[in-house]
Amino acid sequence: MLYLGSLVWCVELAYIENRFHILSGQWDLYLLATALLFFFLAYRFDNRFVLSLALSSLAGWFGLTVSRWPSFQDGAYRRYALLYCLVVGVSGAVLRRLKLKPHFFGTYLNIVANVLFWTILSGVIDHQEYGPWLLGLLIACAASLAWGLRQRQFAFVAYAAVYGYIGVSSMLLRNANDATLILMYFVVTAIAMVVLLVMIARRFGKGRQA
Amino acid sequence: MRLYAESSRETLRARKLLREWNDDGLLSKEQYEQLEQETVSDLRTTNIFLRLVLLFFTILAVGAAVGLFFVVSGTKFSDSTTGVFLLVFAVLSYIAAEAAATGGRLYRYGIEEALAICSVVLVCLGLSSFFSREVFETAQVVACSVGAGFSLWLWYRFGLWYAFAAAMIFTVFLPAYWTPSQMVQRCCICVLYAAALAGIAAIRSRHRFDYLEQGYSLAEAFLWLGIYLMLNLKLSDPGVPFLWFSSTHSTAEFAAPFYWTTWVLVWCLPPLILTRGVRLKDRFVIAAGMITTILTLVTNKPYLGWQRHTWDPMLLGIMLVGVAVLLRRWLAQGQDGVRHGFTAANMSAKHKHAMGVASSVFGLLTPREITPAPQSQTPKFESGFGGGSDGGGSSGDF
Repeated sequence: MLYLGSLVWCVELAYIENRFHILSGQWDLYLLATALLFFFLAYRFDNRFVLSLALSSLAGWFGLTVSRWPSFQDGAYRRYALLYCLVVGVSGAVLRRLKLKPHFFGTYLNIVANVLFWTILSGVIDHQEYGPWLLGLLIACAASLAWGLRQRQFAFVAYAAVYGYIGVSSMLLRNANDATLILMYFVVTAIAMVVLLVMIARRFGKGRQA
Repeated sequence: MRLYAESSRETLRARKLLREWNDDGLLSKEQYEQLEQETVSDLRTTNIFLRLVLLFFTILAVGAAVGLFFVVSGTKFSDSTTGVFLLVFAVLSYIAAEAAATGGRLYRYGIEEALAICSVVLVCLGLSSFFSREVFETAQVVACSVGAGFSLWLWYRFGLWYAFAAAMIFTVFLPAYWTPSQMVQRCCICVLYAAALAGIAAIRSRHRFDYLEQGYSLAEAFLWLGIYLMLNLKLSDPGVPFLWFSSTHSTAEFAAPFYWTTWVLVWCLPPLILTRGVRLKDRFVIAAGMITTILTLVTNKPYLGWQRHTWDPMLLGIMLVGVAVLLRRWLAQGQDGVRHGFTAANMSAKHKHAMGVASSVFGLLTPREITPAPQSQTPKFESGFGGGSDGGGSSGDF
């Protein structure tokens, strides 16, 4: 209900601005105000859905939109994304340490992980100066894998596997033109990934005899 | 005929319930440990994330292997030969799926599911390719029919809920080859779905409290949704995005009596679905009823040819919030906060994990949905359903 109300708030805000132009030209202030309101509501009513809306609005204020990602060209855009990850990640960790709704930390971490991986992947896929981004991807994958296994949060294992695979494959196959080689690569690596993940699942008891 | 033994499925269900009760604090540690030992199944399961990743990589491996075969063979096969090879791959894929499930005891593990999905796709591609030279339409009919039948088999054999939805989708394409009339096509699909619904309703009454209940519940919800989507001409129309922005409705394709009959049915179905869902206390059917109710409200204006306004989504949202508040208060006022077996109180922690995941997904998907679009200096106002930079702001970029 709160989530629905929050969505209605957004629609109403959009309508009012479109109709009356109260903050015409500074529409991004709406995003910041909306983010703050949603943070308050999320913590007041203990609602993770509204928290996700707050984080989305904050991402919007940082200038991040999903629709911009396919361009993969904007270096400045990636910097804002990294800044967003840093701010949200640190905030989530501090709030958790302060024991202020510590169960919200998972939502913070999931969103930060996805934005971070998208940012790094866009850097890896970019044809210029992708070396540092590839290194960053490997570090992020290792960290995500370690965190996922240690905390038994397999979403992070999945992030490491999928984002890592896409990033490394895009780099390895960048100049490949031989269809046989490319398909062979996918067959071998996909089977290897399946075997690796099954082993991980078995070792850590997630693939247990239920 | 089912792949997994009834006892294994029942044990898995019991173990799942056990975990939920433990998470809710309904069991002591000793009770939980004792009951856990009594509910050991021989099936191997995994969590949803690894399941999805394994599904992805298995599909990738099978797809690449099939592609590799055709590339390495180096021969330009005829369509029918390609079709035969694809059918052979489909058979191999299905055998591998069966082997993974029976030999490896994999249950919802991603791998066996991916192999089963690949077998359906390869069968359809193989049949389309095999017949395409001779008669294109026959190829499509055969591929869709076999696809529907095979998907139903997978639903029954492996218990994959989405295979039922796939069978329904395949069925949608079948009447197009029987008749060119849109009206008759929709009627045929509705009749097929209704027959399936009657069958499911009859069968599921015998499985009210066993492991099959959830599968039948989902199938029924899908069928109700399918019937509704076929009847709502404003939703299942291929040009629906344009019609929603238009202030006039198109009745050219449909006779007026059919058009207005569907309008009446579109209003009659949601209460019917909701009533059935509430009577059975079935979450999925209730959800289907709620979805169809909202869709009916959203499409009513285009149906009647009335002008849409930018504030329509707001009114809808306010109305939904109001209904939710009233319903919650009404339930809370019952004895111990319960009315007819329903309560607004959160009784179980079983959805907490799902909510955590869903909140992250919403967080990633909503940025461009919730915020106003940057405006031009001279905005112009048009009627429409929120879209663009001058609508309700529901699809703007920022």
